[in-house]
Amino acid sequence: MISPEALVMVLFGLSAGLILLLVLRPALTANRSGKILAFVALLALPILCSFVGTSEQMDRSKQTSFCLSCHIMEPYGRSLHVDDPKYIPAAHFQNHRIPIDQACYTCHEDYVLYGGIRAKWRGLHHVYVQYLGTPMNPIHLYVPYNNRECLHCHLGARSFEESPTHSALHDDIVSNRVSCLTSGCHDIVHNVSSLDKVKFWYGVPQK
Amino acid sequence: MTSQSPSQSPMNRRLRVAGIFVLLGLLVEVVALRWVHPAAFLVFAFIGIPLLLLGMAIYLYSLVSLRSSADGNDPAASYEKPVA
Repeated sequence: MISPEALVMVLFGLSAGLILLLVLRPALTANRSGKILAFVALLALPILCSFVGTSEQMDRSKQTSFCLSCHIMEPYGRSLHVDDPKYIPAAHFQNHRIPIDQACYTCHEDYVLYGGIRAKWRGLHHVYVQYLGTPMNPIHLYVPYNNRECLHCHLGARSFEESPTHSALHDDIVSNRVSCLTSGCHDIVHNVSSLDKVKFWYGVPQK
Repeated sequence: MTSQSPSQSPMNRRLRVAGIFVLLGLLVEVVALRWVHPAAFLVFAFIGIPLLLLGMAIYLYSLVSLRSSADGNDPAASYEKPVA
C-alpha cells in the first residue's frame, strides 16, 4: 500500500515531469492535445499539488515533533517526560490519554467552531515572534487556559464525574469560574523552571 | 518579415518562463515537505506558492495575449503553425 506521503511525491513528480517536457519542447502546445497538456501541467496539477501540500503542512503542524523543533520549546518537550503524575502534561503524555504524536495540539487547540484555524493563527504568530520579534521569557499563554479544553475529554468521564470535588464545583468548573489549573487543584503543569530538580521517565526500554 | 523558429515565438517563450517558475515553485514545495520545522511552512507558503502563482499568471497572460494578437488579425505573430 502506497503511503500518502509517497502519493504526494508521485503527484509532484508527475507535475514536474510534464512541465519539464513543456519547457524543453514548448512547440508541443501548437495543437489541441498540446494545449490541454499545457493547461494540465501549468495550471491544474500545480493547483492540486498546492492543495495537497498545504493539507500535508497543516497536518504536520499538529505533530509534537513539529512544535518541539523550535529550540525555545525544548524544556516543554522535556516536561512531558517528568516522572511525577502531579505534572499534568506528563501524566497525560505518558499514559497516552492524548495522542502522543499530537500532544501539544490536542491540549492547546480551542475546542470551538474554527478553533483549529485559531490555533493555526496563533502558531503563525509564534513563528513571527520567533523569527522577527523577541520571544517572551519565560513564554506563557496569550490568554488564561480555558477549562473547556480539559472538559472536551473529561466531561462525562466517570473518573471526573465521580470525584466529590468535581461534583461540588461542577457548575463553576463548566462555566470556567473555577480554573482547573490555577485554582490550586491541578496547578503543576509544565513548570519548566523546576526541571533540574525532577526525575524523568523515557518509557520502557525496548526488548 | 523575418520568420521565427518555433522555440523563439513569444508564446513559446512565455510558456517556457511560466514552466520554469511553476517548476521552481514545485521544487521549493517538495523541499519544504521533506523538512519538519515551522520554517518549512514559511518556505512553502511564502516562497513555493508565490513562485507557483507567478508561473500560472504568466501562463494565463500568455493565453490572453495570444487571444489579443489573434483579434488583431496577426495570430502567427505569437503562435506558429504546427509542424507536420
